[in-house]
Amino acid sequence: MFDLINKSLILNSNFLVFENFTNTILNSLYKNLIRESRYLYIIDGLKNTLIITLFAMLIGLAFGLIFALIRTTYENIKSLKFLNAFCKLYITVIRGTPVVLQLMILFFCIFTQRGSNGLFVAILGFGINSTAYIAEIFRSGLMSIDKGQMEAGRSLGLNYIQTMWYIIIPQAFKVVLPPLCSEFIALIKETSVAGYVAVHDLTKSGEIIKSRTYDAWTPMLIVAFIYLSLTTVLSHFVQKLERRLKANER
Amino acid sequence: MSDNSLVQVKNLIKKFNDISVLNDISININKGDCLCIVGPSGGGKSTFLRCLNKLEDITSGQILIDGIDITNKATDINQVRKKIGMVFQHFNLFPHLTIRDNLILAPKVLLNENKNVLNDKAEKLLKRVGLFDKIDTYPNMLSGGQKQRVAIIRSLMMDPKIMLFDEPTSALDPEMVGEVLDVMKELANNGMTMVVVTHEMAFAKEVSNRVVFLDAGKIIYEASPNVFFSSNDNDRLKNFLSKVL
Ligand SMILES: Nc1ncnc2c1ncn2[C@@H]1O[C@H](COP(=O)(O)OP(=O)(O)OP(=O)(O)O)[C@@H](O)[C@H]1O
Ligand SMILES: [Mg+2]
Repeated sequence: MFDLINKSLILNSNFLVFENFTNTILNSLYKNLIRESRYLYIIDGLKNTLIITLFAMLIGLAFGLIFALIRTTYENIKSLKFLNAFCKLYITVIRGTPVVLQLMILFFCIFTQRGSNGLFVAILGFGINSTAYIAEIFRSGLMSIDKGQMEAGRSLGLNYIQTMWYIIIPQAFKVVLPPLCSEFIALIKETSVAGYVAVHDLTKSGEIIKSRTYDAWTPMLIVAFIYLSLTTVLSHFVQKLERRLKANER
Repeated sequence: MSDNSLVQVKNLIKKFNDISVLNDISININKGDCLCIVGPSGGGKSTFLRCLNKLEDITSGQILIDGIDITNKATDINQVRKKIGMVFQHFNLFPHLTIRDNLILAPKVLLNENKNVLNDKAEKLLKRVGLFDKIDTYPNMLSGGQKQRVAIIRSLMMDPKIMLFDEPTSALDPEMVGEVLDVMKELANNGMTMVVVTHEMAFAKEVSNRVVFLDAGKIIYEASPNVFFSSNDNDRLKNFLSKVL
């Protein structure tokens, strides 16, 4: 009997705790998101994060491919010596220094005029940064294609550029697609330091809300949850893509 | 030199990092010749073949292809390569393209020919080697012997004046060697000029009109197949043949 009462009491108090807990959560969510339309900070931040990632990636893809072609051309036929040296130096410097520092140099040393657009600087900075990484991805992809492919193309009378264009690059593209997607996913997370150059990105939006509500946990967890959702969904697609590419091979 | 001459090699020397791989080679190849090159591993056979279409730059000497000096810096090697077909040990088909596109790619880019004409040509050649039903498949669907037959006709699409073969059957399972050699035999019988590096002595005996023994970067012996295999007077060649026959 006593036992039973005891149990029901525990159950009851558990329920109370649970109810309290839900209420607390709902309250925090309300306070951090709905009141004064604070969710708009998050939306704006997410928008900027995606804009920076997307455009930086596009810059990286364009210049990364050019850099990689310069470097493989030098390795294949020893031409473009000076361009190759420049690319090598660029890649070494960019990969050897922190991206935040690169952003700050751009923002505080180079684009110093008042009213410099932080978003523009962030896109440029992350574009410059990912160029170096993407160049290496493209380069290893191009170098991974069997030497016999180049020889077969050349022996048919195709010149170096034609062989690259019709034979090597299409094959390399398949090789680099998965690592490029991983680079994209990594870039989403890396852009979280954009706040250093006065950009209101997703991470920054969490900080702004925190400063309004004096509640750190809720906005931080919300922001983390959004990053996690983005990266898991994308990773899932990459895995699918990888499986499909593998299936095509055999 | 006769005007029947297609390839003239004069005092060819090729070094890799100061090591002579080809040592003063001179040879003439005439139109319609089927020249087989045999010799021990590392003797320089592949290197010699690759010098003929400038896949390797030579150290000194001169190579004329159809009267054009390919060792001259002013020569556009791409123009000369159109006339030289090359077949590799490992086929080197383009895995991202269908068999049709493997055949059509180079002539489409390089020759001013209509796509339909090229298509017909590709179909005709595929029929000739018995692979017409594979036209829209990818190389990875083919056996080694089939791949090599496609590789041969990929070169033929450019209407070459000469074909170079570097051990075209060495990477094949024994039961597939015959089908590739048959295609090569038919080519030779139709008058194609061919240079064939091979370990298939039976092919050399039966199809070629000249056989060269290349060892340590030198042409040690050259003769008609009859003399080469039965009545040669060279000890090194006898020793080599006793091992491979
Ligand atoms: N790219 C290269 N760099 C340095 N040495 C090379 C290179 N290619 C070939 N050699 C050397 O040149 C020599 C001749 O090689 P080659 O491939 O022409 O011989 P081969 O007669 O074709 O032999 P195999 O029957 O094994 O194919 C070998 O000693 C080889 O190690
Ligand atoms: Mg060889």
